Amino acid sequence: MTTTLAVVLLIYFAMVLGIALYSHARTRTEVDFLAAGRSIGPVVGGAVLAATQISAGTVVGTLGRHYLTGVSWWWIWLGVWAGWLCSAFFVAPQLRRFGALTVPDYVGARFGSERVRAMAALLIIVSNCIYLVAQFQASGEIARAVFGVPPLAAILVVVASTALYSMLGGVRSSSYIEFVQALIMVVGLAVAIPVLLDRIGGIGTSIDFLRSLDPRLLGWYYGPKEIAAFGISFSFAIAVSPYEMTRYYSMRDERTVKQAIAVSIGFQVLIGLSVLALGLFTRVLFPTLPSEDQASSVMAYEVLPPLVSALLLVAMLSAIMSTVNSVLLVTGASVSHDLYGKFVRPDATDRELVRWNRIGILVLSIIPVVFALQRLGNVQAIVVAQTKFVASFFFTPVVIGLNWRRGTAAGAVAAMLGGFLACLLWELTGQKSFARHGIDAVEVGVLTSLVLFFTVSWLTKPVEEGKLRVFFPR
Amino acid sequence: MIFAAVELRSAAIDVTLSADRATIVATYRFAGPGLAPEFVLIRLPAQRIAGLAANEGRTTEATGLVRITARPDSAGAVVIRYEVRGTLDRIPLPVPSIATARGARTIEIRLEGLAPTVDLDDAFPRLKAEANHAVAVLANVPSVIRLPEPGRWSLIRTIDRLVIALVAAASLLWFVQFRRTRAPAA
Repeated sequence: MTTTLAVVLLIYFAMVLGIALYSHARTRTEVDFLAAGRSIGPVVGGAVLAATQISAGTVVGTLGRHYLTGVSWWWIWLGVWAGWLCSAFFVAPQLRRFGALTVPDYVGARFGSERVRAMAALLIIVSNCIYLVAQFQASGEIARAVFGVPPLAAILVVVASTALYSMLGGVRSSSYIEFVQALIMVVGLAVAIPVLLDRIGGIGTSIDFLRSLDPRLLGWYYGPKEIAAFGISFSFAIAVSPYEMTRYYSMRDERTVKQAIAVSIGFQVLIGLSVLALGLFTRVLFPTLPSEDQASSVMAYEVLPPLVSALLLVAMLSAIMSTVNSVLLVTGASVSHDLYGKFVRPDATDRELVRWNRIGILVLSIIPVVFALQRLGNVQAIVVAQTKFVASFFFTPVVIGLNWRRGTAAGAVAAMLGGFLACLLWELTGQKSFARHGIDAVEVGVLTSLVLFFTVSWLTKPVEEGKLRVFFPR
Repeated sequence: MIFAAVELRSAAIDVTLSADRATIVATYRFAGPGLAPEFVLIRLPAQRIAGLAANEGRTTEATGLVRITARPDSAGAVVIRYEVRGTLDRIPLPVPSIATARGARTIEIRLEGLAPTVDLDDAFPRLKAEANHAVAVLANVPSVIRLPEPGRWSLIRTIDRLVIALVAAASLLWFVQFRRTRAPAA
């Protein structure tokens, strides 16, 4: 088993390196590095969006959450897909038409303010660091469950290899690598289901066992208010997720973006259903694990045939790497393009910006490692916390800002800052008594952000018509 | 249940197979204060559990499982004995509510009486043949042992071969597509 895994890992990393070197040879300008020369089509684009979405939060966190709480967590996917549809109709076409390189590019141009751009860049860096903590923690869990090695070793391997291919080839290499990852993931997860059923003895046995173990596993572990709050978090965050939106810029045109989102939802339906089934069947086969975050790696390593097991473990690691890669690209771009290139050296050359991007990627991939080693919560809980912050500070300025011309720079700053702080304060205080009041931090954050955006925008001077023409053609 | 403060130190599960029954003796060693482990034993179709006994144990039957509560002895050990009769393609195992420490592979399952012609690759958990028995070592207690059956069509081998074929076909397709897009226009 270990030999098979080692061989599959070697082949996979050789392929990743090959694609990265090939892309490096074709990367000459900042547009090549950050937007793959705007050449990505709908199928590769859709798989890339799915692979970016299907992170450690899904293969480790969501599978673990199904293992622990059962079926009801699946309803969260409806929120995820609602977010994608919102993005497809109200965000992606406008952003692609604008043709920026980064999300703060859009925010700065839409509100005609460099201050807004800087704040967006900083908040993106903070929220991305939280997201990276979850990814690194997941890789540590896999390493501990499969190889019995300390989490730090696995985290460092993931950081080093991902930072390498992010720095070498930019968005082009990551797009092709993620396409392959998405395919491996779908095949690996789908093949795992009949194997688990063969071990257990069938669906009927599993249902009877789970119902007797804890009736909530097949019913409602979470109440409707909790499901709604989680759904809002994912929906609003996905609609404006900076690392997903950056992918739109690499696609050929607006039509390609919409097609890619449809392809991506198809991939996600398959993966979501597989993850639900595997979480439940793993609970039947191993009812007591030390942590729900180990469910996916224990399932892959202990139950599956050697080759499928190796492929699925590689797919899980690669899902983590692809998300880390996407997040690092966005974070690096925030450092080089939005902060260094706009505030430190506005006359910086393309070569200099790419260098600063790579420095940003390197530095910002190390900070979350420290937090990942502290195990601040389980993987899914960290992902949920990050989505709450993104939804609270970014949903209003992006979605409302793209569709309401009266929004102003002061309104956007107030919305981002107010939404972020309201969510943070509620998370640190009111969240503890959710069962009593039923109000989640994301609801408080988004509502605060909306109120501030409309109020402050009405009270301040509108953005000049000339600056709005690209976003509101008529 | 999952984040219990106490832990399962080790388990030694001996399964002896004969023509019409499987006899199981499972010994669990726990550590930590206030131990009150509960075990669940999955109920499988066409099988009957007989002679279930544990240290000062009590059993409760539900549709899909049997719950066993037992008091560990002074050394923190619980021994559970029972027989499985009926269809013996799978053997249910009692899974304690207390988990092992992360990553520690201290669960040992020993199987005696397997037909010598069976393919161990088809078993769950992964078994290794030793002198006159087969052994599996894991980090967590599984609820079921899937026994290999002589002459049975191998799901595991079929899936592994299917995956190899799929990867080969996908690589070939990729290569053809790559050559087509790189070929100069006529």
